[in-house]
Amino acid sequence: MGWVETLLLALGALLGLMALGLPVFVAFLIVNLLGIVALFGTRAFGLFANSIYETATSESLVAIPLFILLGEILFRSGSVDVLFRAIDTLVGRIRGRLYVVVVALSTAFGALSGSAVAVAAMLGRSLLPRMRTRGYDAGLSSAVILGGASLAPIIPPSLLVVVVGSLVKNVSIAGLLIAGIGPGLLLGGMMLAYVAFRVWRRPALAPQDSTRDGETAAPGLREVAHALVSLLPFTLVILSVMGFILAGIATPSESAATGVLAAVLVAAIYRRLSLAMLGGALWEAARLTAIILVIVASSKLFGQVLSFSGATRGLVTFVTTLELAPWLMLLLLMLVPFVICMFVDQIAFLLLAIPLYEPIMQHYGFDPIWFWTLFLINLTIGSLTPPFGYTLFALKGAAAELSIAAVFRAAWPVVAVFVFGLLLLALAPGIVTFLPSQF
Amino acid sequence: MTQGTAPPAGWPRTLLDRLTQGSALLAAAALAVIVLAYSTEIAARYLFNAPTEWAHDLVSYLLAAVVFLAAPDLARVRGHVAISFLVEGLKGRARGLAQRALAALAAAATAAAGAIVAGEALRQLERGIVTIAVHPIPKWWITGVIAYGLLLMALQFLRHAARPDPGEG
Repeated sequence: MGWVETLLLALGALLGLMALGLPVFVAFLIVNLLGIVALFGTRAFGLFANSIYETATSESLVAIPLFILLGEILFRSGSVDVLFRAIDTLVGRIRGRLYVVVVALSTAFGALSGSAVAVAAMLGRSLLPRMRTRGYDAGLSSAVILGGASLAPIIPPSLLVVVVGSLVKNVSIAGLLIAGIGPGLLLGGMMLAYVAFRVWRRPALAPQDSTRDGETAAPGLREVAHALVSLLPFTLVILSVMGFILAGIATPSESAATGVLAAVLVAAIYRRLSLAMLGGALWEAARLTAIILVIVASSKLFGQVLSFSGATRGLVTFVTTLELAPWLMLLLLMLVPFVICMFVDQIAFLLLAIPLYEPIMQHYGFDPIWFWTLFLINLTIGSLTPPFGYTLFALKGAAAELSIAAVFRAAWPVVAVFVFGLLLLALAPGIVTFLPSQF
Repeated sequence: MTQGTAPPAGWPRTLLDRLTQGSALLAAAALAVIVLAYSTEIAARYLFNAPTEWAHDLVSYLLAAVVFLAAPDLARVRGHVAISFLVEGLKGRARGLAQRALAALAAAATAAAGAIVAGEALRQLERGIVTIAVHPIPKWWITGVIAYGLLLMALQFLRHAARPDPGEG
């Protein structure tokens, strides 16, 4: 069997099993088991067992449960309410202020949680009803929440970054994490510009009462000072995570652990700390970790099966003979996840794509930090592109009054903003690579 | 998408559920130990200039425990990520049958994987293979936990195949 047939068979079987509705990790297990039996017979079962063992005991992946736990503690303790009130005060008196609050809050959440789903669900439950009550446009409110939540996987800490960094050779997780800061801030700024443009074109999208006295009156100096002070404990968390990584004091996994301790301290400072809350956070974090890492552990062998079968080498040889211009190759490499992730789970696609993308990326000499950051942002776009996207479902699940069609309609402009942002990052790699190159 | 992540409600009724939820509780406890181990390591390294020799190995072993002790509880509540549009598009009896067939296939796959990993654990036990670490431990301890998690998932999937949830037809 040639490499084309092997590749098509492996990918077709994997995607087919996933499309049937089997759990993603089971689809990987089946394809990998059949793959090694076909290639080596039952004597290679040890290879299968060891691939799961190596992934499940990979220290770099320990950052994932710890980043999840950090977010769970802050969300469950209600500490984020303090963050909301502070940002609400600091945004002050401008037209469409709650749109701005959502983007600013999402950016701050992005630095505390790596999950778009968690942020979308939380904003959908807490802020969306408030925006609707005050007469903010449902579509634009949903769009801003979707866009804001999608900053979380880009701004460090990011779960997907840890997965990519632990599976791709010659790229540091710390570098990839830091690389997300520039793009995250750029995309946050673009979301604000989008809101300003929409409100400028159609002022009715932002209610008149958002500029009147009452809860939206301009805050006094004392209120601003109080808001700033109340934000201080959160800087502990951010410093414990990013500060330790940037200073080279701790590995990403270790700094995630210190971030967890800082989150516990923040909850204690706000008097929201309890054993029940901690137990609940640990329980949920362990389960969310298992959801992600059981897929990662089951999928590890897939790349090796493709490699042993000659499919990876065949694909790379084929791609190199095409002699496409680097920009065209980059476009193709980004277009594939954009389309496939409309239908397929992002982590599943990520794990499927890494063994195929890595040699092509190396052949073209793309900067790995830049390339994988663009790729991760592309996956994030996939998570908010209809019809299949966790972020979309998280918002729909949190806001029962919204129809799924309304969520889909709200998502498209955000997709456009993010795609435009991706284009900017492709054209100006320095936005991604500048910060990592400083450390 | 995940298909439901309900927290445990009261004490589980069956032995299988007790085992599954007890394992998930151990996973949560293992996660707490990871936080403590890393914190100890950083404190020992920077405050006492005496890094531990065990923290990094311990957390990597515990990660396997977190994943494979919590995963069976996800199988119990159909919480694993699945692209379920096709099945959800079916109605009534056809949907129930499809869900049971998928659960049976998942049970067979996880049972096969669990048996292979258990076989490897036995081989490691017989040959006295230890982990590559400053303080090595028998490797089958970890491989055994992975096999246990896979086999427990197989039982949970099997239960879904044999006894459909209410409304599955």
